[in-house]
Amino acid sequence: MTKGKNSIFTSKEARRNLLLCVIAVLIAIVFLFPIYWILAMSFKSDAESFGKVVTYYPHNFTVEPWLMNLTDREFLSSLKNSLFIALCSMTISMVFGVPAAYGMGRYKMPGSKSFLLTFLVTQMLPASLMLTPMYLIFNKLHLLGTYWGPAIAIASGSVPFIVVTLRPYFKGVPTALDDAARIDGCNVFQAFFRIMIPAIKTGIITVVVISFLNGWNDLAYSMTFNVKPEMRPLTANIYRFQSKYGTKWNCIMAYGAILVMPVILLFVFLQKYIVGGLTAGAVKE
Amino acid sequence: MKMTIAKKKKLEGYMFVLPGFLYILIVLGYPLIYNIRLAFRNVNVKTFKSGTDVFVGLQNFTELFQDPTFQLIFKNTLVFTIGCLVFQFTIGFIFAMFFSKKFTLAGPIRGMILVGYMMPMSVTALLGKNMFDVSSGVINDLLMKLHLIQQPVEWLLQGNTAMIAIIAVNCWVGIPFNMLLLTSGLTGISQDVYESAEVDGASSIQKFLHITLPLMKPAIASVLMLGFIYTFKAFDLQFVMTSGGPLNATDVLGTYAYTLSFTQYEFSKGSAAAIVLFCCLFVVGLFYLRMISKEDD
Amino acid sequence: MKKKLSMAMAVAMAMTTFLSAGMCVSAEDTADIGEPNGGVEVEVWHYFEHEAAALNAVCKEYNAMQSDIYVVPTFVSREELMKQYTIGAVSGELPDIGMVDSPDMASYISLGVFEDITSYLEGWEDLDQFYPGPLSSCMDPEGNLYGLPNNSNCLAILCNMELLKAAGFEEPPKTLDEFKAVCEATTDPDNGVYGFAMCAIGNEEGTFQFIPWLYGAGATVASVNSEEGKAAFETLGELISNGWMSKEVVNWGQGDALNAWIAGKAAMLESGTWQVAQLDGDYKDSVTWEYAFVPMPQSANGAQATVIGGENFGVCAGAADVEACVDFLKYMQSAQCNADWCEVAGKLPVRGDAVELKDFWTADERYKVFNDSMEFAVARGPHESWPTISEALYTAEQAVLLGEKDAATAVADAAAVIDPIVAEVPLP
Repeated sequence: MTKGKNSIFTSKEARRNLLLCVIAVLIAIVFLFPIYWILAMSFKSDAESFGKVVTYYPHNFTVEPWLMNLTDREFLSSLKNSLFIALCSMTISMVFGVPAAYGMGRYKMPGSKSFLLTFLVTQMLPASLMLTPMYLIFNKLHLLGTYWGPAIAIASGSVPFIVVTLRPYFKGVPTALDDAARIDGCNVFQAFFRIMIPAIKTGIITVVVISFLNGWNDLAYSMTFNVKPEMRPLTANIYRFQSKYGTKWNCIMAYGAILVMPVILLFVFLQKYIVGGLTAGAVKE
Repeated sequence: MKMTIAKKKKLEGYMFVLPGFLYILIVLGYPLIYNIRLAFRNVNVKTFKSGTDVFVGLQNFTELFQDPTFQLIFKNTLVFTIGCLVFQFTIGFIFAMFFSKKFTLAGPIRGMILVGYMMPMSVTALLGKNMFDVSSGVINDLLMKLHLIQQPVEWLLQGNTAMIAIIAVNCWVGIPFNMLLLTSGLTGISQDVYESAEVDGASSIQKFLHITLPLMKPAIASVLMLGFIYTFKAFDLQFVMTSGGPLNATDVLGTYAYTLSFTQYEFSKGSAAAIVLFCCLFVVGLFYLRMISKEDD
Repeated sequence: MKKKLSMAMAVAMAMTTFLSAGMCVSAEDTADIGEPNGGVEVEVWHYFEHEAAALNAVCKEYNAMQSDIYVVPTFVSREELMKQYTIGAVSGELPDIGMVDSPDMASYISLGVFEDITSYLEGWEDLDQFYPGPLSSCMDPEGNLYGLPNNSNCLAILCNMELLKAAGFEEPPKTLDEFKAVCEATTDPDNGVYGFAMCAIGNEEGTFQFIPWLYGAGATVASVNSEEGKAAFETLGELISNGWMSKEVVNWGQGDALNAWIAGKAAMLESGTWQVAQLDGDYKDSVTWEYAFVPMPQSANGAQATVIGGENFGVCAGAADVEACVDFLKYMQSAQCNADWCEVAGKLPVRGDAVELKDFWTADERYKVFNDSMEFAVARGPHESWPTISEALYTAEQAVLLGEKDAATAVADAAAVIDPIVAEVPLP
C-alpha cells in the first residue's frame, strides 16, 4: 500500500490492516524459519554445523561453504547448463502445453476426454522407472549427451501439468471475448495469442514459473542422459556434499541457497513486470 | 453451412491439442508399454543376461500383494498421500483466500512463503533430515526450550513420528504450491459477482459457499488431481530424508519400485510395483474426469 | 501487458540463443590427464572423490609413457554410476572401464555389465601376487575374471583416548568384554557422550559395518540363524538398550558416524581405513584429542573379524578395445603403481608384492592396525543376489536396534530371506 492510500483508511480499516498483517507475519515466521535455517547453516563452520550444541546463528561465521560452491571449477558451466536446460524445457512445455490446454478448454470435440486422460495417464508412472526406457528412446534418437534429452524428458512432465492447470482458465474466459476478436477480423491464431493468452495471464505466469522450476531443479534426467561433467547441471553438486565422507550440512545449505536465488529473482521479476495480478487481491470481504 | 462451421471448429480444436498430445504419446507411451511388458515377465538378475525370462502372467502382482512389506508400503503410500493432501489443500486454500485480502503485507509475505516450493526437493529433504534430527535437530531443541516436551522426540527413529515428519516437510512445499495454483484461480473470479451478492446481503460464509467454491470447482479439481498424482508417486523426499526407514515405515510405492529395480535388480517386480501405482492413479484420474464431465454438461 | 509478455519471451529466447552459443566453447575436460597422445581413447568412470587427483595422476603418467592408448577418467557419483550400469545393462551404452564397489560386482557380472577378460590375463604372472579375497570379488562363480581389484580397506575401532583415559582406561579395548566395559564407562548422558558410534543405515554401508559383528561372534551370513548369529544381534541391541550407543545410528552413514565422533558425541567409532586420511585432512583441526585405532574386539569364544571393502575396476561389455583396457588395468594395478596409489589415497594394496615396496602400512601405527586386521577380514559375497542378502541383514539389524524385534526373531526373519538364496547358489 502506498502512503497516499493510507490517508483514506478509516481507523477501523487501519485496525483490520494491522490485524491481518500480524497474522501474516506469524505465518511467515513459521514458513520462513526453515529458510532462515538454511541461511544460518550455510555460514557455519564444518564443526559447528554438526556440533553437539544447536546454535541459532553462526557463532563461527564463515563464507567457506559458499566459496566451496561458487569457486568450483565447473560452477559457471553448471550454471549455464542449468539455465539452458530450464529455459529449453520451459519453452518446449509452453509451446506444446498452452495450445493443448486452450484446445481442450474451449473446443467441444469427440475424444476430448480421452485426450485429457492420456495426458494424465502418462504422469502416473514413477519417474525413476521411466529412466531406462527413455534412455533407450533417446539413444535411438541420438539425444543422449545433448541438452535436448533432459529438456524433452522434463517437459513431458510439465506439458500435462500445464494442460490440467490452464484448461479451466481458458474455459472461464467469456465467449464474448473471442467472438469480438473474430468480428475484428482476427484469425484463430491471432485470437489465441492476442486475446486468450493475455486474458489468463496469471495462469500463464504460474505455469511459466513452475515449468521453469521443473527444469531448474531437475537432477535425475539431466544426470542420467548426460554423464559428462561439462554437461552437468548445478543440482549435481549435491553429490559432492553427501557421500561416504559424510554430509556437509553447511555446504549443502549454501548449495540450496545458491540454487534458489536465481529462481527468486526470476519470480520477483515476473511478478513485478508482467503479472501484477498475483498480488492484486480479488476476493473481497 | 452450419455443419461445416462445426466441422471447422472441431478441426481447429484438434490443431491446438494434437501437437502436445503427440509429444506426450511419443515421449511417454513407450516407457509405459516397456514397464507393462516387464511387469508380466520375470526379468531379474538371474534371467536378464541369458534372456531366459518368460511370460509369468500375474505372478509378480500376486507375489507383491502377499508380501507383508508391500502391504505396509501400500498403506504408507495412502497415509502419506491423504495426510499431505488434506493439510496442504486446506491450508493452501485458506492461505490463498487470506492473502487475496487487501492488506499491506499480503504481497510480500505471499511471495516469501513460495520460496519453500522453489527449493529442489533433495535439498528440502536434507533440510528436513537435519531439522528433525533427534539429538542435534533444531525442532527438538526448540520444543525443549519452549518446554513443550521434556524428552527429545525420536522423530525419524519411530514409524509414526517419521511419517508425521515426512508429511510436515512435504506440506511445507505443498502448501505454497496449492496456494499458488488456487490464488491464480481466485483472481479469475470477477469482483462484480461478489459485489452483487453483497447488495443482496450475503454473509461471508454464504459468499464462500455459493460463489467462491462453485466458481473454483474446476481449479480445485485440477489442483487435487495433480496433488494426488505428485504425492502418490513421491520419491525424492523419502529417498533422501529417511531412505524409507525406519524399517520401511516411510517407504512408499515410488521408492519401493526404485529399490526393486535399481538395487535388487528385480526389474519385473519393480515394474509391477510401478504398475500398481499406475492403476491406483488411473482410478483417481477416472474420478477426476467424471467430476469435470459433470461440470461441462 | 501483451507487449511486456512478448518482451519477456523475447528476452528468454535471446538468453537461450546466447547460452546455446556459449555451449559450443564449453571446456572439454578440466582434469589434468596430459595432452591426447593420439592413442585409442579409453573412458574410465569412477566415483573417487578425495582420491580423484591421485587417479588423474596415474592416468597422466600412463598417457605420457605410451602413445597407443589415451585414458580419460570421469567422475560419476556412486549412486549415479550404479544407475548408469543398470541402465547400461539394458541399453548397452557403457564406458570402457568402470569402477564398482566390490560386493556389487557379482550382480553386475551377472547382468552382463562387465566383459570376461580371463583370456587377456592369461600368462600374466603378476596375477599370483593378488590377494585371493579381493581378486575373487572380480570373478563369476566359474572363476572367470571381469576386472581387477584396485584397493582394499577394512574396519577397526577408533578411540578418543582422552575420553577413555578420563574413564580410567589407559589402553583401547581388545576383547568384547573390555569393549563393553569401556562403552559403559565412557557413556555420559549429561554431556551427550555415548560410548560407541557406528553406521547402521539401511543400505550396503550398514551391512558393511555389521559384518564384523556377525563374523566376530562366530557366525556367517549363511549361518545367521544360530546361537552365534543371535549373539551378534544381542550385542548390538544391548549397546542401545544400555544407552551406550544412540539409536540414531540407524540413520547415520559412515561419514555421519565419523562426524558424531569428531563432534565428541561418542568415545569410540567403528571406523574405516579411508577415514585415516580424513583425520589428517579435513578434520585435522577438529580433532584436538589423542586417538588410537584398535582391531575389532575379540569375542569370548575367540572369534574376531572385520570386513573387506574396496573397489574394483572392470572392463565393460562392449568396450571398443578390450585389449587396451586390460593393458591399462595391468599398469594401474602393477605392484609399484598400486603401492604409490594406496599411499596417496590412504588405502591398503591388493597385492602382496606391493606391500613390500613401502613401509607405509607398517610404520604408521594407524594403518598398521588395518593392515594387520586384514588377516581376519571377511569378504562380502561374491554373490549375484548380494543386494537382497544385504537388505535382509541390515533390516534385521535395524529391527533389533530400534527394539522392534528381539534377536531370535530378527535372525529367523533374515534367514528366511537368505537361506533360499544360498541354497540355490551358495556363498563362497
